Amino acid sequence: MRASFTLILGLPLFVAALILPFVVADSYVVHSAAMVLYFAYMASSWNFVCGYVGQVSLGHAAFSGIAGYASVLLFTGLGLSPWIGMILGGVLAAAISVPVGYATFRLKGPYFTLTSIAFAEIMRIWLENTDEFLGIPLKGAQGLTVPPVGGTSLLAFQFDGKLPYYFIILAMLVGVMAATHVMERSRLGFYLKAIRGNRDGAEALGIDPTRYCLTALALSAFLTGLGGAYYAQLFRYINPERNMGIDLSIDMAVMTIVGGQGTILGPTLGALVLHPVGEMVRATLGGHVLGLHLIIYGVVLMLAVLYFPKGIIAPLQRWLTPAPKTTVTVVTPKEVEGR
Amino acid sequence: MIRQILGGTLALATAAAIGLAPAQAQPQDVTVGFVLPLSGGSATIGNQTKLGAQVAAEQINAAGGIASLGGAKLKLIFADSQSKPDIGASETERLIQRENVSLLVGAYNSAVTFPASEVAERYKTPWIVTGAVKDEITERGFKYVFRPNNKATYDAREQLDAMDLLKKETGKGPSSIGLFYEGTDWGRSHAANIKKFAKERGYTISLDESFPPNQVDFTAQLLKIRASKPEALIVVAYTPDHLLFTRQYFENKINIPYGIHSVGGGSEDPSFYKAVPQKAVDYLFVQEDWQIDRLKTDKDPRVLDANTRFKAQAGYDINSYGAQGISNVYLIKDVLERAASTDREKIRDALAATDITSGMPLIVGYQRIKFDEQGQNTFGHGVISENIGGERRTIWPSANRAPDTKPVWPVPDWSAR
Repeated sequence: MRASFTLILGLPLFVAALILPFVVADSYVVHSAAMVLYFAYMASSWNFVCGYVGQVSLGHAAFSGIAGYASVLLFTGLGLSPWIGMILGGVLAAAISVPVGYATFRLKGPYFTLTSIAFAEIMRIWLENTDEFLGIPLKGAQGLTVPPVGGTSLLAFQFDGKLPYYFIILAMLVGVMAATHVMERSRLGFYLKAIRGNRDGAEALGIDPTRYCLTALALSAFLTGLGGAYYAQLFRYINPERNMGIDLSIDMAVMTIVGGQGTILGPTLGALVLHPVGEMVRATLGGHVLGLHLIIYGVVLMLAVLYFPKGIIAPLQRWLTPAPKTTVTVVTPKEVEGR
Repeated sequence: MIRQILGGTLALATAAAIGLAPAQAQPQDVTVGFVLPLSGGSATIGNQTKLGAQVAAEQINAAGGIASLGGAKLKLIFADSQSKPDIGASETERLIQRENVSLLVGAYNSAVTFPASEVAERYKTPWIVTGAVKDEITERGFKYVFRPNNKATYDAREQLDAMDLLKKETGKGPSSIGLFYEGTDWGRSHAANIKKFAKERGYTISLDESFPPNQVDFTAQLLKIRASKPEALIVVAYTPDHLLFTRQYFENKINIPYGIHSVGGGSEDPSFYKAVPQKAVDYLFVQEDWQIDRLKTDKDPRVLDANTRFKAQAGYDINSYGAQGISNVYLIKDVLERAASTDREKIRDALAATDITSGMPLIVGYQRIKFDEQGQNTFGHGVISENIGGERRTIWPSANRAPDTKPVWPVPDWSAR
């Protein structure tokens, strides 16, 4: 049922995304659309672990930054193609995510969230204050620039026009959705949902929560890392504040939560609604009333959370795929007398 | 009745004709896009630059606009970067594509200016850098990026230039310098620059001490300063740390014969001076981003009018970022007069050929605006002020020093104050 709904909604969206740059041949629109896809991708990567495990990470930006820095440094230092750098960066992000998750997924409560914030902030502050590390020029808060090779080069991940960047991120987004789909249907997906539903129950059935959460976190960190490396190539610039800062982490979480966590299309819907809202109010009001565009963004956010607590995907789902009449029996565990 | 209708029609027609005629003769506005941090951490600064630019545009438009374009008016469009690189780049894209701006100004934050000006370069749209000091911005071989203001390295050079100048004038000066700076990109890159220039000029570094921002107590560091006895101390700190340091330094009454030389930041913030006793900042040297006492020395009616307009909205006198906005817009006027076109290519060529030696574009305190082949104004500089008699008076460069300003060098001991 879920798959068919994903297709009903996802396919038209995908087709629209495919033809958009040809219908509107305006590079500002293409750039803005690429940014929507980028945020959709980042939110989907976040959703990969957080949406399914039910633990909120507010430090995912660190994975984006780690991989972004790795890919840029491998390119500038060793001349390695950013495509390879991207993968290696993602692997590095995944490797670094494991100890963070290992220490905190064993605990119940908000420890994972808190640790994720602390971890990302430590990474950011360290990077902002480190000019050189083991001879690697990190350049602190200044950030790193990707030197232009001049013109279009597929190998160097540099293109003159916006179109290639647009289709790359579109492909990445489709990729992360496919990965989410496969994961949902895999043993890992079922385990994660079991853990989200009732951790103790899952554990009693022999599922090791730490192990499966960790697997999902590492995969999610890898995917987030790819996004970070993409960002660095799109803007040819990366700095700790934007690529590792809490703003990006919050964006990922908020877009997923507004769109609908634990679903394949939810994060994309969130990005599709929130990014253009931000962009439009900024374009129309940005120069006039101080900060009003941020207030409007905040109000839209509040309304979304207030009226669609399960994400805007929930009403869409009800509307597009009317559920067959089923009776749900709620089973509540009974208190055992005398316990 | 018919007469009335006829009369009314005639009156309407005349009114329409009057209304339409000038509208048709009116030349098209020149649109200038600004990408500035209007919300978020650097919002205060972005809005000061914005206000300065608006004031200058009002003055220019009231005085007849751009003469070579038939009196065309300047139309400024402001976009908010939120201090974020990607948003600045997106907004630049929008201004170029949607608002069809003839040229762009931005973006204070180096992190925003860097990628955003690259967007402008890709679209062959001239970009005037305002505020951002990161060296590499004008070291990329770009053709459309021009920076009237200084690079980061200039700040460090100017502090030592001022010491050199005073040494030359009085025959006295420090031989050892202490460095006390916040451990951020800003603090550490400044310290590195100072060390480089100090070595070239034969100063020894007697103290090299950094601190993490937002300290609660500087006692330990002040002990180190007292022990290492620097003859001059260079300080890099934003307002909260600068306040705390200044208060504690004042309480400890440490004698540093050639004074405290602050690179700005906290010591350029008006709220800093409200929060410390005057005695604590007497003889404090500050590297200012603009000629702080300009309003006292410059009697140009346009400067005074600009200040009246600025003060009416901001509530305080023009400061460095306001002055930069004014300077940027007057530079644009100069460029447009010479380009006599709104074509981006012609504007670029006119910008590259800029050589201004007088007038409002120099309100910031420069003697000249002329760009090198990288688009850097090599004549861009700040000034060094000394706090004398409760006022920050420009002491370096000598061209900006008022005739009645007498630097106090070396500074008196605490016992003599």
